[in-house]
Amino acid sequence: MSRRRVGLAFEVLSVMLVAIFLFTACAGGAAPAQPAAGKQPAAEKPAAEKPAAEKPAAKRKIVWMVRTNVVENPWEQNIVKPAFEKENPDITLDILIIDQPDIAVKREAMIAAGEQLDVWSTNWGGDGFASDRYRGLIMNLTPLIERDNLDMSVFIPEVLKIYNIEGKQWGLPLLTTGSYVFYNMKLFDEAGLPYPPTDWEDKSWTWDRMLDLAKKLTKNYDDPTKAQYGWIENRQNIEGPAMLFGKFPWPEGTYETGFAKSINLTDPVTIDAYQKHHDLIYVHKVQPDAAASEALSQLGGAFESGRVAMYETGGWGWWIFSRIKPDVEGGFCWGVAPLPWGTPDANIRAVIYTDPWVITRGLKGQELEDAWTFVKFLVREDNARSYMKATNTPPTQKKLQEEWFQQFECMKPEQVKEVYQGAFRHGLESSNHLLVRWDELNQIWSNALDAYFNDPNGKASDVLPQLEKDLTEALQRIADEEGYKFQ
Amino acid sequence: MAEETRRSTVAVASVVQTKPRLFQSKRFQERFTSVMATILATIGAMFILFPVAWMVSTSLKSEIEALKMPPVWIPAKPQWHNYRDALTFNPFGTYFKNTAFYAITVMIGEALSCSFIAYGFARLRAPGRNALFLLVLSTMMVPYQVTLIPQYILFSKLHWLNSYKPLIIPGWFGSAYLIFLLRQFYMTLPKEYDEAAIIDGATPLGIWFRIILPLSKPALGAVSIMSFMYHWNNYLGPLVYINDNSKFTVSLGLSMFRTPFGGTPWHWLMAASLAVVSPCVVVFFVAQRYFIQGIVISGVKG
Amino acid sequence: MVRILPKGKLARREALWFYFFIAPWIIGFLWFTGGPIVASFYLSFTKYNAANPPKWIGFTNYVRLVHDRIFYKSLKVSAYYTFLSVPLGITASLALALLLNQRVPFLGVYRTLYYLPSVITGVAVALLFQWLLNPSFGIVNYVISWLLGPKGVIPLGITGPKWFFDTKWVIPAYVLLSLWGLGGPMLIYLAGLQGVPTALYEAATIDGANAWHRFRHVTLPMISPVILFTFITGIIGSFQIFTQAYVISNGNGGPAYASMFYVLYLYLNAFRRYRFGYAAAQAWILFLVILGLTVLMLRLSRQVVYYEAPGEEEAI
Repeated sequence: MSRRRVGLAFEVLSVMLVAIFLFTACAGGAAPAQPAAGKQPAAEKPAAEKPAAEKPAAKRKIVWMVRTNVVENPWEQNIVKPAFEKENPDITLDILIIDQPDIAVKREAMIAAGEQLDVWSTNWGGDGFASDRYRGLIMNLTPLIERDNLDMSVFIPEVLKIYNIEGKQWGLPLLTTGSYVFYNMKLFDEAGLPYPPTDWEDKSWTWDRMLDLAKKLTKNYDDPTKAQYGWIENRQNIEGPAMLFGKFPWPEGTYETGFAKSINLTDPVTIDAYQKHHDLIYVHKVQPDAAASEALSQLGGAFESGRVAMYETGGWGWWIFSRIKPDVEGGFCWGVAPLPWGTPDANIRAVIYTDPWVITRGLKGQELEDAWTFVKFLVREDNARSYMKATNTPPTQKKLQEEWFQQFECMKPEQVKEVYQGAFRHGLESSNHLLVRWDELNQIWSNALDAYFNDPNGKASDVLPQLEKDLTEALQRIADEEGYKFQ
Repeated sequence: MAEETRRSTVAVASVVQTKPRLFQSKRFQERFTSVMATILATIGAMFILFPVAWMVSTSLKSEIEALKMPPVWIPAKPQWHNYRDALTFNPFGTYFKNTAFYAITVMIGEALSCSFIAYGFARLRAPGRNALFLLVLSTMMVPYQVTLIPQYILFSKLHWLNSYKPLIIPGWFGSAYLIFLLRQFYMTLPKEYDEAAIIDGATPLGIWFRIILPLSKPALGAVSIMSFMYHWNNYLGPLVYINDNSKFTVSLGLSMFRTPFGGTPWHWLMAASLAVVSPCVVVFFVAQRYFIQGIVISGVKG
Repeated sequence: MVRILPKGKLARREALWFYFFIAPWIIGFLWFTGGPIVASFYLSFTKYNAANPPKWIGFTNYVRLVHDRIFYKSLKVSAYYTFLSVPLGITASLALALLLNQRVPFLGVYRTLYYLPSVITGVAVALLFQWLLNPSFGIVNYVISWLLGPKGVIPLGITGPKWFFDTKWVIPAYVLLSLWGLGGPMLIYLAGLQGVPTALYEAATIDGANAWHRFRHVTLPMISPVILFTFITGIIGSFQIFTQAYVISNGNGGPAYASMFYVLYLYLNAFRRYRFGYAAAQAWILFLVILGLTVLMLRLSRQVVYYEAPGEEEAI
């Protein structure tokens, strides 16, 4: 029996070795690897036809990779492509449209194979900006900006700064947004409560004030099918809850280098902050538990359902909620407020999310020129405006902002301006764009925090010390594996 | 051992002897089985239909209605135009044509080549056969996530990207899964046929074509259907190898509705999903009558 | 070395025919499949992030895996899932095939209905089940508490579990999801049942065998090769479950890593952290695990699987 098994293993190994040998021998021989060219059966004629790419290149092309999006895609295909090709008749713009969770699969394959890929956005799929910069995937645009004297003063300075590391500009921002509290005016009116403020400096807009409102706006908490919730927060990053209470857990300089030696989650204020968020669910009962939250925010629309009075989330609400109209069946008026003050010193408390256009590193000559022409085209005022108009997303340019403020039905332009811009003075870019191998860290804290927020008896003081230890260990391992030396 | 099993198959039947009772009359038994089977099948079907009903209901809602939690079961006003809107938002007509071309082309080649290869593995002896067969199986055991990039580089070198070639041509050289399946079927076909044919001077090629292919109609039917459905729904292949919107398949068309931050129009996605599934349903319904009949009518006479 | 051809003339001719028949597969393997597999084996000994050429680092990836807690966890999660879903899936789909092989009116309609879910694939199914199994709004828990809840028909005070949110129930939830695709194996069994000679049933019935005996001693042996197929491919497939978990857990494998399936973790290492070498090492360890299981199954099955074809004594 055992002799037979050895024999079988030997046979398998031999066959594999022969196969490997044959394959490598053939692949090594012919340059465009067609190892079995001599043995092609008749069925497979198409293989013999000459590659189309060999034709005399009359037109140059640019390959632009974007995400699937029912509002962005029509803009890209029906506005950008014709306009750009009209201006640049000798260039064809190829648009690759891919669902965001799957973008990395195709992008990494294209890069590994050296297929043409010119312009894309680092934060769509994969790990994010920091990883792409660190492994040398994207191009420093500063020399091009300086050569062409591109006017950078059109951009909101805080937003431009995010992708400027050590004096090098790695991308040009296409959309940006802070974090806000979106609120349902109809529910406030029904309860006879005043709306929250729009001024980020308004010190009366405290955590306790928010909690007080949330309690008054919560109804039928125990029956999820009938409940109305005072508050739901969309936790995205580990620093968010702590920042609300004036603590920033990452060491200084983390966002420039993309690496951190440690994280501080055991500060009493941070622990208290996480406990307060937990209490919203299990003590004050103004926020649904994780299961109901997810059902409401991922499967349905928590806010769109009209069952949440206040919804704390990233600023995508500005454009996603634009489909809620007061005059349509089931619709209502909504407003936007700053994040509340957890403590009086929580000056920087909003997480900002900004997406940049980048160019693949290693492009040369004409291809680089074409890609750069296209990026400049994308950030030019008229095209940034058409993007803003098509998608309702907030612009990254000062002049366009004024136009964007005009479009909200239930808020006055000056209110929109006040609350929208305040987030940038009181915010920091999200760690998910600025940490190398953020996804791995996210996996660690998501697993720990999801369990914590699912557990009615969870104690922040039990969970956070362990999480701090795990994260610090991971941070050091990541730096080690990526060959980064701390100063 | 196997031979023994076969003998016992027949032997046991003669050993087991029970006295006939009234309710054991053949006719009663048959009718009783039929009624019970129908009841069971109906109960099960309700479980299956439930999610489908939800899809249908969502496909008829307005955008905001589709987001309501708890869900509304009956749309206030059925939005039949969702189907038209969803299928014209992107050129689904083109996607259907592309997918039909790709799925049918690869299905025909795959079914034939797998049958051919499986015959070799099932009925012919050669040294190294088991090792080679294990090699066939082992190609299924390496997760595609790690072979994807090398494979992409390979097709890039062949200049096959942005065409259906990487999706179709490998299928013509057999798929491990279907080869394995057909081999298992072929190993149950009575070997007396081969022996008789060899005495008559037939070559293995002749045996495969004249005896095995006709005998394995149900298996080939199942394999063709599985191949077709797999390629009709294949998402990863087209995602990686197709670039131009005009060459997209239906699965890529469906992914085009996905919008970050909860912006996905569920009512359109469900309408389009149902539209994409419907050809599969029709194909299956028609095909199953052809190759799987009731147990009483068919069967190889042993 | 391996003898490609045996000694006798007849045997040699048969061997040549064998190679003729499997030639398409060999060509395809050398041309498309083999190279990438070999390449992934090579990559497992390198540090490779797609942006830069691979760098040889020997066994470092394998050594790191040995110290990776999540790696062990993911292997356990996938093994547990396989252990639950494969036997359950095979039993259920075989039962379904037997049921739909009876005289049922509108048989075609029923078969189509049961097959339908296996055609609805990908993201839509994952979302569908997230909704069906949602503890607060899902219909499954609604039905459970309607039947068995404190105020239910049979008041046992049982309410549904938290499914995807509970470390203990998350894997059963994925198993339920996998059962929805019963139609695929059902189709295979239906085709297999066609090959059972009617005469055997007739002979058995005349001899007075009841339904169970006919199933046990006629049907089961005759379709045992197909059952073996679904078993082996089931194991291979469930160890590689990915898409559903990627969508439902948002790529985190939560709660508390309870749904960190092996290939999900592998994918994250490859396409989220750009550790392609590490992921390749994971893939090859999985390969060995599955290969071992497959060989074991093939060996064990010799005792029970019934083959007609020549050479079955030595066939695997």
